[in-house]
Amino acid sequence: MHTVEHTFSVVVNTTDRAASLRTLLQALEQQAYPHFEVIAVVGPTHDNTLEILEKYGSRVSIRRCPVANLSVSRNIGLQAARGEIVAYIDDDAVPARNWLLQLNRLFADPSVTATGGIVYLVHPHHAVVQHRLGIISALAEQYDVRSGLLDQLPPAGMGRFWTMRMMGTNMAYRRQALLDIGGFDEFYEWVYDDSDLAVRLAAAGHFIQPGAEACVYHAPASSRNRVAYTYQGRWWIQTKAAVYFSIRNGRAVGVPRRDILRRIGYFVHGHMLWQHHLYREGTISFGQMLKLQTQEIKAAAIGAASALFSPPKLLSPAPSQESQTPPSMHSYQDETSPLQPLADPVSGRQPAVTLVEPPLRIALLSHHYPPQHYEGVGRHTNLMAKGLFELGHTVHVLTHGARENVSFYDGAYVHHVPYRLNRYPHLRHLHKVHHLLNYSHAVFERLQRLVLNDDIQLVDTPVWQADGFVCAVSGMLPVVVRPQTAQRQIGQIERVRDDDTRLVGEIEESLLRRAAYIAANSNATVSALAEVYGIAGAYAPIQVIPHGIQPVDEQAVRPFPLHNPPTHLTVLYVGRLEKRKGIQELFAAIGKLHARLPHVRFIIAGADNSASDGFKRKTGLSYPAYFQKHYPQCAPAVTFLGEVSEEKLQSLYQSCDLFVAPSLYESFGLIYLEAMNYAKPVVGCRAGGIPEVVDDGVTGRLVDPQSADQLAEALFDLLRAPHLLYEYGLAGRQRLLDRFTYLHMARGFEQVYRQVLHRNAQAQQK
Amino acid sequence: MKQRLTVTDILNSVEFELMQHTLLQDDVADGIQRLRAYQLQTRNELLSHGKNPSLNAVIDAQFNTTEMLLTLLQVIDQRCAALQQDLRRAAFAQQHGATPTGAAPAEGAQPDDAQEGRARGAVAPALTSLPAAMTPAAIHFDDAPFATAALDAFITDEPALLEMDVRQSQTPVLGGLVNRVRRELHELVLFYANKVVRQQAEVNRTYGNALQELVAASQAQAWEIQELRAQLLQLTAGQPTVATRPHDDISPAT
Repeated sequence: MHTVEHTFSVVVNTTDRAASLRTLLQALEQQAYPHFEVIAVVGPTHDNTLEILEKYGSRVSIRRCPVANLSVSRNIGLQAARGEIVAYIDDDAVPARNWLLQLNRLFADPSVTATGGIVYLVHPHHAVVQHRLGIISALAEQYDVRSGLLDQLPPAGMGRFWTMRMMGTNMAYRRQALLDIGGFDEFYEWVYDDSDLAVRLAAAGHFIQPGAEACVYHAPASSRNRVAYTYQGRWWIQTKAAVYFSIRNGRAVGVPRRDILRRIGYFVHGHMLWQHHLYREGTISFGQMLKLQTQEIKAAAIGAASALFSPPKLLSPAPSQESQTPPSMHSYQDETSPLQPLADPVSGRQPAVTLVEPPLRIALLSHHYPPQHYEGVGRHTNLMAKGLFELGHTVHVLTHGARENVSFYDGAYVHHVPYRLNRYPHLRHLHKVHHLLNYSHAVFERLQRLVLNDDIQLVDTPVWQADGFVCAVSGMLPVVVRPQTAQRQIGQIERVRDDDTRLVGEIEESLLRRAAYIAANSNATVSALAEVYGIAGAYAPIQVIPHGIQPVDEQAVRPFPLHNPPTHLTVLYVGRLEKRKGIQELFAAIGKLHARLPHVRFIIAGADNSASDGFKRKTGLSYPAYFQKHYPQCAPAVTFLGEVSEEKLQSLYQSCDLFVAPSLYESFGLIYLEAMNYAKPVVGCRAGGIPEVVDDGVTGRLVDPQSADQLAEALFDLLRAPHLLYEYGLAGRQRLLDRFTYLHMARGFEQVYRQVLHRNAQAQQK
Repeated sequence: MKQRLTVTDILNSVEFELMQHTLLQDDVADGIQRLRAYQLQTRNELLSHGKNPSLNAVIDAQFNTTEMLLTLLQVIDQRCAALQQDLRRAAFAQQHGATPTGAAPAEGAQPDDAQEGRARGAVAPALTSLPAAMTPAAIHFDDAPFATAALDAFITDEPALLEMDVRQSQTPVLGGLVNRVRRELHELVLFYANKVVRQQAEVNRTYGNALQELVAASQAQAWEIQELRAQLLQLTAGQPTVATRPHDDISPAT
């Protein structure tokens, strides 16, 4: 099928949602397909909608709709449209960059009259696939189609006439076809307008073919009809529309009268049951329930009367003068459009930067990701995403999830990728490898869709769990690799030599060798790459970009109270309880310190990992139990908290007097930064990347790894010197602000990504 | 002896999966080309002069080729299914009397007019042009009723329950006691065995009923399909037809 370039009129119907509208208009600037105009039809608005629109000058064609009626507004947009295709999008939605490009591809088939794509609801706490492929009957029975539609025809239901339908926030039609059938029926002031159009188009013999791509991200905002994510709304409008729809379309296709009545009964009864449920759970009072139920009956009566005794409110079917000879369109995009960043579709927050180069479109991979999981790689990826968003770039994060959905969290679209163990069956006996490959393949498939819809330019993957391995092997996109502590290193430290771990190590190495660029978090990591994997700069350029975190507000910073020192000092340890973290050395040091400093309390926060690192097998005890048994005299001074929430963790950092983490190896040591954020002095080991974070004698103390004596001495020295606790703490905070914020880190990655894309472009030119 | 897996094996597996994926996406012809290329490459790798491949490597390559063939077959099968669906769509549209795809309705026509036109038995011209050669074969259900009837006869019989069969002891003095103990034990075993037999019979009955319902439903569908085909053929031949939709006995709501 050859490519046809259609002209599009994007119609946005808006009333009192200025913030969402601004986000949408900004996103439309980023559309990859340039041949479109934007028509904004403004209802009876009371906010600064018109002010926002006027900023766009002649780029946006503004029309006024005197009534708050979506169908009237849509028809005004239709009559103003000049493009061959009219595409409707809600003012609280954001299209993917290739939205129009994909719609244009679907309209390349001349038999297609109407199409649309997938809609993701992107609220951080309500993320679902809102609409994929849907069908609707003449009695307003709706289903999502998961497999072949025609195998299920006719589905269970009474409606007889079934057709594909699109959701109002992502639908496009050939303009002439829409005018021919009289546009939208203006009885529908809200909901069912899109479905009614689908039924009428199908009945008129037009072909409706929604696609699986062309996605739109929807962040429902409140309106006069409903308060988003609550029960509060004028739901009786839905009943009125459904009754009208069922009678009008049901009669048109010859559905028996008793079936129409039954369907109306089910619908009204369903709403009443829901209202009764709200009353039972105490959300509404008895009076409110009665009022709502009366409204339901009244609405049903209005809908029925209108369907039976009034003609449909359609546009005149005669083709207008304009539609015969459409004048030229005002293109929406101009020379500044490529430099417009995307805004947060949920909150409307804008990055506070002026871009001089077009924003990047990046996919970051992380198996775990906040807010579900706060752990090293996930937190690092989260901060990168946040920083890149602040710099104006579009970021998509791919993380594991039980169901496919997309949310917008902390500056990035977060795509949850489920996976099944249905590939690589011959590797089933290797648990880690089998999971790794299957997940990596699922990620690859999701990336393919992101390339189609969001025009991703580059993938950034951690070595940990090698999420981007299949993508790197496929060569689909350039892959930047972030090495942290990897399986092979852990295998060496913990002396694990099974086949599974060995092969995961080889996969990590293979991923590194396929990287377009390696962004290491410390010089220690660069050395480890050479030592553990035999990889130097010969394979891919390597750059050190230290981790960064978000500095807390000055009011939250708690330096040591020099003039009013506490009677009991608190030492905090954060990290998993395992050999690599030096937990046994800490136990020994506590044992030595307790007699000398009985007023010191130790708090140990982190999950017990004794089962995984072999400690329990060897001793038969967990780490806390081991401590209780071998250091019973110190037990009252030590509190084991286990794994704690993010909020609790931050409060622990804030309230401690000294932070200690005697890890035998850390590729970087984010935990030290977290403590320095609150102006706390830190104690660590001269191992891995820790000396690059902790300045010995300036922001804390460093000791040799596996030396409990040195550790005890360092803790003793600091705990006996309040002025050191104060000075080291403040110096640590300043060092963080100077070098280790998430914006420092994001700028480093931005440079790396631009270099990779530049080299890629050069290679393609050659 | 098992060979030690290396990352090369992993990479081969990943590349193979990626190729499978491409096969599913690309056209069948393209897939065949890829299959040929793979076969040629494998042949060169394994059997060119001076190479001495292991039996495992040859078998492995053969399995991969078979896998790709199966995938191709799967794709072809999907295409066939899609074609069948197109036919069914045509039949469905005919049943509901839609105008041909993409065609604009008559000037001034309202959507409801189109529906009413359909209800009067108006047939879209494009749908009458299905060639007779495409008529699928008739569906036969000759054997199924006999099979289900036999099954039904079998499972409706009362389950054959186990009966007491205790060998009598001839031991003097203690024989009576031994026989009594044996009888008690047998009764216990019989109680549980017969319970299982009854439950199994119940399960069989349920299966049988479900099967019969399925066969009846399939028969009804087969009849309906055959009727549709007959109508379609009549329409193809340009003969006027009378609408025989399932709910024609019910007058439309007014």
